[in-house]
Amino acid sequence: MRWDYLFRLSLAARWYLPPAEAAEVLEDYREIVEGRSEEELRRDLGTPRAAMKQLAQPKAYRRWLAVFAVLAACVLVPMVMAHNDVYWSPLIRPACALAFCLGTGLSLLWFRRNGRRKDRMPKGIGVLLALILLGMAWVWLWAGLVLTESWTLLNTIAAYVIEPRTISWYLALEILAMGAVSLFGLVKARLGDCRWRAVYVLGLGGTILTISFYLLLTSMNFDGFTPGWQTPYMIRYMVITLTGLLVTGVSLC
Amino acid sequence: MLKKDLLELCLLSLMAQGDQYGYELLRRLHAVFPDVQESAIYAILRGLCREGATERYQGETSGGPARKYYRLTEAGQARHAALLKTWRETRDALTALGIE
Repeated sequence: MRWDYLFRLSLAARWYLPPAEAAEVLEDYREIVEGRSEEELRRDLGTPRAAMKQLAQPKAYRRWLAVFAVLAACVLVPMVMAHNDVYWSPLIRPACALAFCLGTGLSLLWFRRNGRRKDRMPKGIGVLLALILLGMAWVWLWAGLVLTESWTLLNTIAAYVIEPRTISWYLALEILAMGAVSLFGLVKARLGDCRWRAVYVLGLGGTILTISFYLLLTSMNFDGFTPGWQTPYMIRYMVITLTGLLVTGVSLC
Repeated sequence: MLKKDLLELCLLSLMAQGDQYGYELLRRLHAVFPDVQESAIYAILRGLCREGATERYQGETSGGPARKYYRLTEAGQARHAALLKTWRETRDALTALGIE
């Protein structure tokens, strides 16, 4: 039970305090909680959250909350826009581009200066990155078929394998899943090792990539099939994917 | 004088008597002020450290985990004197009103 309290205390400490201070406080608390029951700890120290909240320096904590809000908004705002089918809005493409640039840049800078780093690579990062890459590959597969104008193959698939509406549903589900994984990576980067930001960055890249393709499909706007209509889409998808992979690699170093 | 100031005064007074083991400070104050949680006392102790009124160091150990001790700095001695003065003025003012 005491370890349960200490575990929740360590999560609260890492959320409310900068890494160095959290480590120092936890070292002190290991001594304080020694030999006491959960009931005694709650009576003498209060809840783990309350105990750590009173140690937080308001200015530093507010700064972290602001960064967290911006990073979360980078994932959530494009998701909400896509959910509301605002493909017609002239704002959605700039909003997605801004969210992607801001999210990757800010997470890279913030966790480089304010992150905690263990010797070993945390478990779970590899699995989640592989899942995100799988999701991105799935989007690339469908995007490839559309951008290469493989209409015969697409019509065959639509007629015998999977309905177009189902593809759209899968994409919507993937946006939701990628967004959730990305936010999970963000929280873990604060509570655990800063290399979890790689999951946030690749998840954000995956979310934006999927949204971009989802918007192309739902808008049904292929620019009148003028020659070379695919080029801007291809460039956009390439930039998102390559930048996402590059920043993910940097985040893991 | 706020209760937080009183707790600060108590911590500084204990440290003025000599270097103190951090955990012992919490236990002693909690025993005197049972309604104040040890986490609140710890927060005040860390606040004093952050402000430079006290400093901590690791004591020598014989086998067990290293103990953290706290001592007053010059700024801490000045803060202690100021809080003590405020406390005496408050006490005298209350006594003058017949409140004992």
